[in-house]
Amino acid sequence: MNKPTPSPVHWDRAFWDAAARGVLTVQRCTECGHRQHYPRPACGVCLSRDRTWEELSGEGTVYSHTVVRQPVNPAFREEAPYIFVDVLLAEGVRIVSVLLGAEPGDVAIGDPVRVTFRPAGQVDLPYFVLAP
Amino acid sequence: MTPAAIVGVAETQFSRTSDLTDEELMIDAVRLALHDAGLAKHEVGGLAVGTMTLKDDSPHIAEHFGLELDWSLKSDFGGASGLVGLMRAKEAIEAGVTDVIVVVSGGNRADQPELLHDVMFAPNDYGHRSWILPYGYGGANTFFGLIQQRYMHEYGLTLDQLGKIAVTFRENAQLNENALLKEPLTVEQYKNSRLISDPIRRNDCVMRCAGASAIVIANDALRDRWNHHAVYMGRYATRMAYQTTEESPSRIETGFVSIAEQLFTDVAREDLDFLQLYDDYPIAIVKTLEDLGFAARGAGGQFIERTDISRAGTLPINTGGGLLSVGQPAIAGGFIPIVEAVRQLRHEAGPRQLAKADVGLVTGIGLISYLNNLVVTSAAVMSRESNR
Repeated sequence: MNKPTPSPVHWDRAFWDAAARGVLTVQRCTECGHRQHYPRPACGVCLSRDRTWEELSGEGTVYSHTVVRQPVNPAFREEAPYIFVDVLLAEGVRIVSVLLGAEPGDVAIGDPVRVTFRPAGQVDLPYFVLAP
Repeated sequence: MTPAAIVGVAETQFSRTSDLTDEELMIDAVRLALHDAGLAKHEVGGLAVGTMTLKDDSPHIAEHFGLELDWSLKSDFGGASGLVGLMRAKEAIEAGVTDVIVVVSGGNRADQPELLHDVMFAPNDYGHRSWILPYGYGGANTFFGLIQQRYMHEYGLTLDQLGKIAVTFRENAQLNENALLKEPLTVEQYKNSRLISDPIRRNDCVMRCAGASAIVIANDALRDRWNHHAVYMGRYATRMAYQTTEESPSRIETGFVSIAEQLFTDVAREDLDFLQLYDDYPIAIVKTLEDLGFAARGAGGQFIERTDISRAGTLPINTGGGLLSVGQPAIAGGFIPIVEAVRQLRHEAGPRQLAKADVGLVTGIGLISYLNNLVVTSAAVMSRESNR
């Protein structure tokens, strides 16, 4: 059974291009400076479609977390349980991802994490690991 | 302007599974609700269909139902589809567009693939496709796990407090013939139920089921026609995409914060005889009570602990058992609080009728945000009188 993979569209392709280089980015409006993730078709503050991509450190802290014990998609059942994380990145924006290399009980809100990438279909998908 | 009146409600018999499609279930509910109201099918001028699964447009659904209409709406607000659809229907009637509207929803368990040939489920299609599903999403439990974990970190909340919510609703369900979960539940059983998406437990989750519900709302000028005491909507409001332009919005604060004040300008919180709250999880009840101003922020757990929320209490909540003990027939789950409010306000709730039920509050919440909490929060004061 196949896992679903991201489907890049023309206005988020730069995110995936940076991800392929191992760099996490966030969409930034060139008119008003607003940053948003997940990417949107326009700036949510001023509706400008003139956007750039700000490179992020890839470092952050756990804002919240949960253990997925019952995936909806059977393709993920062998991997369960795994940890969904809501990460507050050092630059002040947030991203939802999965924490790799940790067991339920290993993670707490506020723990430092850093990004890592794994192939998913035609792109590299950002994941996180606990920072040493 | 004559107000719009809620004049008919119906639920089909809910069941764990069904051989019927969403549309077949909905048609049964439409017939039952028109019969309850005492109105004929040819009098219906509008149809609101609450659905996140039917691919069809609302005019074609009307064609399938044999309804020639002045007005239609596909009400796609997740769990709030019933209440928001009812609001839009009320506005259409009061604007003079048409006189009788049926708001309907129904569904089957989403995991019966043989019944999915004509349906889809794709809320926030882009967001899910590229940013959530590739990680192995566990459904709404995943996001509510993130919400409750953060809430417990910021404010603290005990399993006894959450368990009291689930246990009280289960007691109410025992007097509801359409509730699917009636076996007694104790706080100990709640606390010991297995983890599904930590800290969300089995007894925090609704059980999906099959069924449909319908509501008939009509021009009050036709008031000599109804079979029952009419029910009226007072102040009501909806907020969508709360905090969507924040770079790091709160995972736990909901849009109820921004609509609370306007809801209670005519009827004060302390004058409400009951609350019928959309309860996909006990934590949703806690947040609804806080953000609508019944409890202080962060004090929802203590509020539950010290308040008698039973049918005999000072603030009865979910007197028919809520979704948590009735079941969730897809988007028709959001009709459960509305139908129960109408039955209480008509004084036709049978063995679970409250001693006093003149005015109450109904909420609908729907869809979950990637970074915030709920995408749709809606609430309405409902009353036996048209001027409240």
